[in-house]
Amino acid sequence: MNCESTQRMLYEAVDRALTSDERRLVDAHLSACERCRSEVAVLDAMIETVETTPLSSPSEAFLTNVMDSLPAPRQSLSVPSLFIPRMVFAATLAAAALVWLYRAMFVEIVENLLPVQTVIGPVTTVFRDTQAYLQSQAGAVLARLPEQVSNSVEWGSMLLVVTTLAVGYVLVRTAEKLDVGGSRFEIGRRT
Amino acid sequence: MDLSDEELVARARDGDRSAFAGLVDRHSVSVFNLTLRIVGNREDAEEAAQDVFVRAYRNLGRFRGDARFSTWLYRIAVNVSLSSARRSRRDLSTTSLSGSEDEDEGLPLQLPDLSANPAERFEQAEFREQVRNMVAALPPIYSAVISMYHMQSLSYDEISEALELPIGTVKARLFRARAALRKLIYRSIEPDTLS
Repeated sequence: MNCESTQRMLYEAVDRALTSDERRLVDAHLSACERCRSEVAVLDAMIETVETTPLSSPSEAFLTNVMDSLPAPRQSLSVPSLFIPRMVFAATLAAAALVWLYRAMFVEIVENLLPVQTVIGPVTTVFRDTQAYLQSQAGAVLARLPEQVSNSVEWGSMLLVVTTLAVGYVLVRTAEKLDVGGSRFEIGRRT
Repeated sequence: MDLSDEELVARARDGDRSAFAGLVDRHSVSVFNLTLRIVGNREDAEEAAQDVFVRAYRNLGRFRGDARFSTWLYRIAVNVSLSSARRSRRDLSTTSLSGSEDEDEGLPLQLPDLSANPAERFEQAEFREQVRNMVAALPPIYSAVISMYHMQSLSYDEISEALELPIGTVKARLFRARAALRKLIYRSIEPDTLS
């Protein structure tokens, strides 16, 4: 066994117990090689020195610095922080439902307000056009359904409610993600 | 009664900042020593350690508890420290965390032929301090494995999880790290003996 093989084995011996055969070969070499005996002493001293390295402590201000650097509590972390967006979401849904349920009355009232008709007129036209478009889209979907199913539910209204829910959900999730209402936006790294 | 890391993490996730402060207090020394050995100086190491905890806080929701919280922290610490070292002076020729185990095989130890017994030098406190500082002068990934294994007494499993490397690769890195440290030691004793 030469010096290099011996020393490689000595380094491996830090991590694993040598087999009896390996141990015998190493011992035989060490007994005849002063340089490798010196290497054993260096290796032992090196490991002992490293393992007795005193741990350093960060500065006393470390904890304070870390806590001061943390982002503001995320809106999604606490119940109170969710209260406002949820209430806005609920109010939006309620308003949308009321407008939809009383849409005929709403259009009629607006149309009867003659003094503002010239101003509001285009608005009601857009409203009617949008309503007609949505109903036609809903009709296209309903046409693909079995007749007994399509007749059993007011699908057009349900589609609108589902669409409103989906849009509202996306808005609220986006607001939460952007931390709207918090002290900062969460996108990107803190600078 | 002290709460476990997992309990503190759960509370911190619910917005309890004092619980997170408890985690910082508990792990600041170990994280700081790891960043210190990789980065090499106190100022950058403290900044890196601070960044580690801020990132941990931001990503608490992603901590699944599969590994210990400390191991998860070490993983962040290694990544942050390597980035910090990459931005500074360090030789990055061996900072790749992945890499073939084969590349660690068959490397000669390049034995020097010293006239004096180098082990005697370790009897001097000043030399021992120099050796400790040499750990930070190693390529960062070597500093990391030596720090975790020899200074913080992490197991191979824990180092493997922290570095996201197979255990065999961790052992190979340790072997190489010790050989590199030894080479620095010999070079400091007799600068002309090693090229």
